[in-house]
Amino acid sequence: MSLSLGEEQEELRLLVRTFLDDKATSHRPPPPGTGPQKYDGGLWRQLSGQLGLTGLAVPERFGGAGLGPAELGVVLEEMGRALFPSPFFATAVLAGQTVTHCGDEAAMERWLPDIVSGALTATLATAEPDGSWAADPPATVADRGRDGWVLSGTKTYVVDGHTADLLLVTARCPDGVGLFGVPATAPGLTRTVLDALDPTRPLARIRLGATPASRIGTGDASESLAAVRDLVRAALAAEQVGGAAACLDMAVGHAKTREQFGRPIGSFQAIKHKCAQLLVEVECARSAARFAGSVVGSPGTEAAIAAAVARSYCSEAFTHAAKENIQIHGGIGFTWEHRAHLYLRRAKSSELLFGTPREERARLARLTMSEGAAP
Amino acid sequence: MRLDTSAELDAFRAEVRSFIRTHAPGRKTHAGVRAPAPALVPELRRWIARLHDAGYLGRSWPTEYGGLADPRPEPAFVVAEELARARAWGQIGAGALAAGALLAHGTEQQKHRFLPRLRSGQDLWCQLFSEPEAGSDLAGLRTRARRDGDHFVVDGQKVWTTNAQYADVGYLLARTDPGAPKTRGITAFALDMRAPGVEIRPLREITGTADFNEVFLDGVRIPADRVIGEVDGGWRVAGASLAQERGSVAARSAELLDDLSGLLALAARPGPEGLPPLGDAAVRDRLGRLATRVYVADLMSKAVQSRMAAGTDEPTDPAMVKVFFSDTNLDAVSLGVRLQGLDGLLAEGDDRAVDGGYWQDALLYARAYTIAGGANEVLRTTIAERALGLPREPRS
Repeated sequence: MSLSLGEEQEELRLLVRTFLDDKATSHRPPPPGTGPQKYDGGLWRQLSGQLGLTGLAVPERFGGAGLGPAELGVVLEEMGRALFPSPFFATAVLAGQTVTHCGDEAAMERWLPDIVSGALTATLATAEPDGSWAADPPATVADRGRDGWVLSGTKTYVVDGHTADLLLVTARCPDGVGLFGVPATAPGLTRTVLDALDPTRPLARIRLGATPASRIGTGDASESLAAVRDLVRAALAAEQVGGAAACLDMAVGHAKTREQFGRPIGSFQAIKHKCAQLLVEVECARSAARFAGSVVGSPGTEAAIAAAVARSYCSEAFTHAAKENIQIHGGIGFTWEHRAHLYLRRAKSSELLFGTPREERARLARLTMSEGAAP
Repeated sequence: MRLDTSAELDAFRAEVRSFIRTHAPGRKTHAGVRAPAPALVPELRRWIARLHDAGYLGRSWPTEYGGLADPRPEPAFVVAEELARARAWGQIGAGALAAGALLAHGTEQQKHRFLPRLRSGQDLWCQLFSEPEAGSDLAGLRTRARRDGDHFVVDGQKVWTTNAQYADVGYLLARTDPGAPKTRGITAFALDMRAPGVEIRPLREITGTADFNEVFLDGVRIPADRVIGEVDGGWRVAGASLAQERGSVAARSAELLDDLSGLLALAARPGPEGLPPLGDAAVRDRLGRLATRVYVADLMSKAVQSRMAAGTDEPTDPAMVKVFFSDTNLDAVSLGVRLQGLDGLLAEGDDRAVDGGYWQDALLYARAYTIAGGANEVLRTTIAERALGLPREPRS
């Protein structure tokens, strides 16, 4: 294990970078108030079926590449850099990793091959209107009806929830927290797209009214969901690193070419020091995210500590980079046409998804104290 | 946090750790790079010899000068980390820096004269670079060395010299050609610290201790065969020797991790009403933020170490580690004082001071890290220009 990429990971990074550079550079922000950015179905099929990205961390027996969170991190760093609009995070990370780690062979056989091929988009719905991500125990209830389980309740902040073909939903069962698969077409299910701060990552509210659902696994799913949450947090941290690096690149590019007072603004120390500080933070963030990517998924507190460190640090590093990028761009950075605001919107939103930095720090304080001393 | 290493390096680490536990003289009670008490110096000379004999210091040196010709940096990182973790003394003064200069640029005669004495602890070296008018702008140094037959005659003043009072040899930069552009007229010398005209005055710092010195040079004669590298080529010599200081990247994060353990203990210690600071959510948040930064500093240092081992490191990597470490260190030791409540008012002279006044001293000393070895502002300029390619500022 190393904090530098291996040869094959570096090849993967280049593959994704080239693909995104070729295909995805020109997307403009959607006009204000017109809802979230739509993704390109053709590109989605290419990156899933042809490039095999959705199957990277899926076991080989379901058609995947059998790799893990480190490789997912490589892809997400590049997607975060490009702010690439696609259901990749929801499908490959949220849903793909939940199913891969659910321990239910039938569920894996049913959904993973279609996730790998790109035929199925999916997401995970855990948060509820009370404002907590884990919602443990969930207010959404699962009842056993005559023809199987039915779910009732409301899930919100569901990433790509308005377009996903399959929703994985947590609900309260007699034997603990249950995990369920609900097709988007199920009766009694309504979904509303939200006006999200970040138009490049659509969010939806899902209402379930006695909606039929299939149970995934048996017994309380809290533990496997917690392990998945560490994987999700490591992936999100990698995406944040990419976003921060993109902001730094944009800021430096602008500072080299924009002239005021007869010289490039990047020759002024005030601008230089901002950029240098961002580089330090990007490098630090990348080290933290890569370490998290290399240990999440393995048992023990180290994975939880690494995920908390990565999320707490990368969240703030990205937001800082996004803010400084706008400041360094000056007036042009304040216009809707310029992409700088999209990164700030993504940064601020990513901070809040799946645990705020403050919550991560509280977790870390608890975890480190319980370890007794620094590892 | 640790990364998997080879079984061989793990075994080496265990061996070094046990060696330090068994043989290291004393434990450092203060944070940072500090001067040892005079009585400890003879013992430290023997300890430095022992570390070289064991292959723990000077491991990369060619075998003819007593090294193992081991080109890998990892063992040196392990030694630096283990010494820091144990708060043990290592090489004191500028021995590693001088060895780097001699190995890269010294004559055969100089290597045979100085390297064995350095290994045996017989010669302690100090670094005579900074001057009152040349701090961050080192190339602006004014100490003059004039040729006089087969000697150079040196006049000037150096400052911030660690261990000058114990040093046998000084690694000196002086200006030999005042007409040349700043970096081109500088020459490196090995100066006999006992030569007539060398005067050392201790400098008392904000910590109340005298860990540095001022060194006055008044008509000091240095034989011409003590020039290291070319005359007027000293800037390159100084650059090459800095490569020997890479171990510090590893040592700093080991110190931070040790401080984090100390902070956790402080936070769990009952306060005025019997309640530990940890009971307060704001304290937990601050501690969590600090733990984040400490772990990240460690990971960043590990990333740079692995790049150094693979030969893919960037020239600005140590600067980035240093900026992040020094800022984090300042936060860490500030929190150390804050967690003590009113007891934070006491310093080490009071026998009721928490942890022997360690945190108060460390808080004051923390500024040495943000200033020395390139002030953080200067390093940020370097990072911006070299790593990001931002245009240079007009310079005088």
